Amino acid sequence: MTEKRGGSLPNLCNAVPADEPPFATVTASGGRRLIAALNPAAAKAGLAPGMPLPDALSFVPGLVTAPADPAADRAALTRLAEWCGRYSPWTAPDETDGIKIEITGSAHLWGGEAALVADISRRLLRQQIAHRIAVASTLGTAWALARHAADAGAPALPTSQDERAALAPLPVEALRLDPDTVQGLRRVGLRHIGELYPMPRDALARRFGANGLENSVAYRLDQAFGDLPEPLSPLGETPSRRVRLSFAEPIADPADLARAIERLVEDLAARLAREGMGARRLALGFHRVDGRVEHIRLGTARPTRDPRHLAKLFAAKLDTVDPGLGVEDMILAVFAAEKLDPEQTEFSPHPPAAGVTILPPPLAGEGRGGGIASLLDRLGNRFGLDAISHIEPRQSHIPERASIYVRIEEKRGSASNVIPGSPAGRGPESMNTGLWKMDSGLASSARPGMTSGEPTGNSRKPPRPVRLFRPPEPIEAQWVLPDDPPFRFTWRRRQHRVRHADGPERIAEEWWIEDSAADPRASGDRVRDYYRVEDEEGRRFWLYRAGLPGDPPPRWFVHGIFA
Amino acid sequence: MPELPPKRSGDIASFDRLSRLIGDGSLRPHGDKPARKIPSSRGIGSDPISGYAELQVASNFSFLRGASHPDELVVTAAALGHAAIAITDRNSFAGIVRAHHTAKTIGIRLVVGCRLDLRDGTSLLAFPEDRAAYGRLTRLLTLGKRRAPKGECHLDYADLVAHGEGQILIVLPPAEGDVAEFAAHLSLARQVAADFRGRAYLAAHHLYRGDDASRLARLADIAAMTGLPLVATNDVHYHEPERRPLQDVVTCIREHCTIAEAGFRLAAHAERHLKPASEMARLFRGYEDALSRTLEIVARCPSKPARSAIAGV
Repeated sequence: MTEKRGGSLPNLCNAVPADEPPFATVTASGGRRLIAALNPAAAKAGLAPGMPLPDALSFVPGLVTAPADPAADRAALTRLAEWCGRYSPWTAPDETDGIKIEITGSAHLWGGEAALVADISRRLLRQQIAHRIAVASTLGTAWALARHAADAGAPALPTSQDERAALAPLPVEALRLDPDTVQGLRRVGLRHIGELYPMPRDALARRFGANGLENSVAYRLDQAFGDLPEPLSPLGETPSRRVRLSFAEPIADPADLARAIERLVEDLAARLAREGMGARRLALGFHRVDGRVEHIRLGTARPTRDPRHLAKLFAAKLDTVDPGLGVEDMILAVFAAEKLDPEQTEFSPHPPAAGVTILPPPLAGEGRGGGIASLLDRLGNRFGLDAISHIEPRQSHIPERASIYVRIEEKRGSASNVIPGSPAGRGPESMNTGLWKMDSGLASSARPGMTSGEPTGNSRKPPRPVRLFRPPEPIEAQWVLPDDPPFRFTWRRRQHRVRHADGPERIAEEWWIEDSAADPRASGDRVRDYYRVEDEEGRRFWLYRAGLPGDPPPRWFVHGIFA
Repeated sequence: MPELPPKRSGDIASFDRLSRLIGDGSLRPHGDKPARKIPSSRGIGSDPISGYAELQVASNFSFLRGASHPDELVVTAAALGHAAIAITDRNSFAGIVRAHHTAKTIGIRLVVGCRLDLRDGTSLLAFPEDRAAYGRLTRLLTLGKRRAPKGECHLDYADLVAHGEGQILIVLPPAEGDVAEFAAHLSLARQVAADFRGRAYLAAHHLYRGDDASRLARLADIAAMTGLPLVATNDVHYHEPERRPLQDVVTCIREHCTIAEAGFRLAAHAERHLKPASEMARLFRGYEDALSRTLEIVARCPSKPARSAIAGV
């Protein structure tokens, strides 16, 4: 039988040595200044929270006060709850003075509940935090015990059978009821929880259920006994997978931290490999001895479980972590994972010789395309993924528009509908696969009807150079007939005599785009005729004539060279 | 509005000027007053050597494909001095009526025909040789349309053969696809050549795709291998190059996309317009037979369209 255990530790103010002078925080309420919280010395002097400050000062003239800062208190409590993540991923601040931890399934990692509580206690004391800890099957019981039964150094740890009995002597306030309901119960003489046990349930519900469900006595009792579920909403996002590493002594040296990272990612990688998953979003928490938690958060371009890759990503960001006085725990959590089928990426015919350690083979994501993903991750986690673009083919007849820079971030989203020619776009013509295909089928003559019958490849588009000049470089050209290629041209002060040519490939402007301002050089050429030409020395050029013969005279350009 | 320059074959200067006028669109031959142009164009059209008739013309009755009205096309063909013009809409004779009225008014010969897009992806142009063949062709279209949901026409090659008596056919090579691919599957071309002996041709286009020389050579090879004579057409989709934006827009409507998304579904240039015979002669230099065969086909078709065709069957 699995036992659901909730832990609860009300966090009082910082424990201080007994010789500390009385101290209190003060809050303003309706023009009056009231005591908000106090230290043991002040409590011993007879002060209590809620007391007006003048009264308190008359009791303890030497009272040291400071204004209460609830926001800072809340932040501190949240930080402490986060620190408690070392015991379980399910932690949350409880009201203003407690932390609840779901330790089901994690207590055995510490050698049982008692050992776990001892560990919490020891570490809290080191941070000088006074505390009372209770462990129980339900949040309600743990809440009651921690606030009304446990004491510093004496945690309440009833077995699940004893919980009912342990709860019985506690005052009814321990049921998390509002003061009105408590008052009502007291008025009818019900002071202890045990006295409620024999009461008829329907009568209780009728008489003490008017102030809403949360304050209904029956509801709270059911919660305490586990008859009603009370889930714990954890602090922040709950990771899907966690690997933890604790150190006997706190570590602070970056080299030690890096080694620890390696061990953690190896554990995680092994687990992900078993599950056939790859991590997309991770966080590495550094739990410092002073109760703070530092984080490194990572995103990956594609699912990965390659420990070397992950270790590199974390190591690259290690300098953003301040280990303070030392890190006593590191928790690597995966928040998003995707299916990643195992793939064989290496084939090693020789088993490693005995005594030779070999690096673990990359598990996955290192194979085809994995290289670029690793690169993207490393660049992206350093510069931000939005700083990286890559080139995508785009369906445009205009050569310089046939590719487009796409931000990596956009690509992840559904940007396909804004990028013409993305694979998602349907079209009778497939993607421009032939665009970059090199082709040697240059026709042997410019004269139609005299071309050789050599195959021109299977590409749907005529061959294009791999790289284009940007902007196209102007040339001086001489030609005869309107559709003829030049017989001679001068490019970069060198004259080339055209031996062979093929063309023209006519490409008209994209009339729906007005970008003459963006590229003044290209403006005005409403029609281009492209020719592949070969000069006497066998060099091949991709020339075009901007504009048709007439006024103004057309201009010639080299747009690229064929390798 | 500039007047058409007189045609003198071999005169580079005038021919240069003409192609410039056509190419950059400053020439608007269809104009508002077509009647004025006809006398000058008659002289060119009657030139037997460089005569040309456009046989592959999609009007806007090829729904969301053509971008010009049949009458615009007919008037432009007359102004350019074509010997005749065919209107070959996709699986339809719907454009013939308006084309005929205009052709009769301005006095250019109209060739009645249609484009058949078969279910297997084959496309052919069909021109009935006589009134009876016209009836068979219309029956064929009726058959195909009854089989299919509205707006479509499901025809197979077997249907074409069954109604094929008296039809002149022009097999269309894939315009966008690779001719090499087409050359590898010549069974259909051979089949057409066998089934329509003496009445089947192979269309050749100048696509301005950079490889036109080799493409034409390859088509000529195919023509020689299959016995389908080559006939030049310009696969006309609009009467003047200025219609390219409209053609692009109707393409987008057809493909349900925006102009920015259309990509390669749009034509790269505005060359699918009616071109003068001299321009066609320049593009098909070395293939003069292919040009003169257009006139041969015109001659084989009835000089007067059947009355029922005009009735818009």
